[in-house]
Amino acid sequence: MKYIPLTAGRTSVIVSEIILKLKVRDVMQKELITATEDISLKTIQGIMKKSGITGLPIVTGNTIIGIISMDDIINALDNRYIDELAGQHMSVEPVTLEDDMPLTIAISYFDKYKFGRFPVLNKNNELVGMVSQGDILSRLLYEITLEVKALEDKYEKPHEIEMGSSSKTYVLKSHDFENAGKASSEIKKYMKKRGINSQLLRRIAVASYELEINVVVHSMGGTLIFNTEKEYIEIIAKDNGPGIEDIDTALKDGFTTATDKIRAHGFGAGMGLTNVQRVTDKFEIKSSSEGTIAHAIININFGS
Amino acid sequence: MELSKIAESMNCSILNKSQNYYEIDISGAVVTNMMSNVLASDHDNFLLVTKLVSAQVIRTADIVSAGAVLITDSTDIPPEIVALAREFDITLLNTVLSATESRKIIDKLV
Repeated sequence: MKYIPLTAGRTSVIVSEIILKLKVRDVMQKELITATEDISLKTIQGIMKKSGITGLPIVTGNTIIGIISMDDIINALDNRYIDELAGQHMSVEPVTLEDDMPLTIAISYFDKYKFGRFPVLNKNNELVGMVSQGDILSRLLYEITLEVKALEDKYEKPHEIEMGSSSKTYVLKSHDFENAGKASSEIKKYMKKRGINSQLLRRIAVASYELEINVVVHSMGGTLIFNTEKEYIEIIAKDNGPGIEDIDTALKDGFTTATDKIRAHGFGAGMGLTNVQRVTDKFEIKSSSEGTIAHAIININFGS
Repeated sequence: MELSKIAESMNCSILNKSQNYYEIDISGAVVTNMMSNVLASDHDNFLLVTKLVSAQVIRTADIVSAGAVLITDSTDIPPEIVALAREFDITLLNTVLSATESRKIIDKLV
């Protein structure tokens, strides 16, 4: 790689922003491969070959005292001193980066010095990492992936059916863990915009989320209906079965029929329905083999 | 205590920094892998500490307006989880410490 292909005027705004927020420590390799000055160049050649690296810092304790590059090894082979010690042939006072430096400095160093990698020191001048152009490009690719995912998510709304200004219905799929909770996040955002106080907002969000999760993890799918009235809000979770065998037992704290898969997502403690009971003013469940309807009411005064 | 100071004291990696990162004041920690425990909590401005890596951790933090999420045990965090934290503007931290070690330190700090 001759240079990092990022030049002023050609780099997108998003990539520029990513570069500006990153520091050298964010991209450096923290797992260090080092050698001491009493090791032979031949041994270092073997380490480089095995590790796939082109430069090896020579250290005393945590302090870097030199560096052996691939060029040094080639020279040693050409001039037949490969069995001599690293301390005799290392480049002393190597150019280093500091872990707290902006990434822009690191990029400019690669441009300026044309080295394959730089040692990174902390504020105590201890060697804490190495950074190559590949490390920088890997991290940038990772960050760009995050940005693209965030943009994709921004435009991917939960399946919402508008039923008037005060009612929303969300379709929930069975075991759709990726999207479980999206409806409740939307509800919370919507209610926050209406100026509701933080305590009521939390109660509504918790009730909605627990009911939504309940439909996703325990049923064959269903809907979450959210109604706002003048003096209360109403959350109705309807599912398509298989139904709750014993509602009284299901409402006991700690009772659960959750599988390991559900627990792997952080649910299945047997607290969901009791959490809904705790945060709502009225909560009823009706269930048969055809499905369950959970009906929650939270009294509310807008602007309170 | 300020979240930024806690993150610094614990040498956390910051995977996502919320817009109000430097203004977040943490009053305690909820340490659990079960999200219903978090939803049952009455605490405000708490740090959600868990080993669990799931979209539901971030969604739960959003639902209860947690101050931040701290993933323990050096657990690998996939890009989609970081992206979700960004979407909800939630600070996401990672530590090499275990949940128990993290709790001890946070309890001392706050």
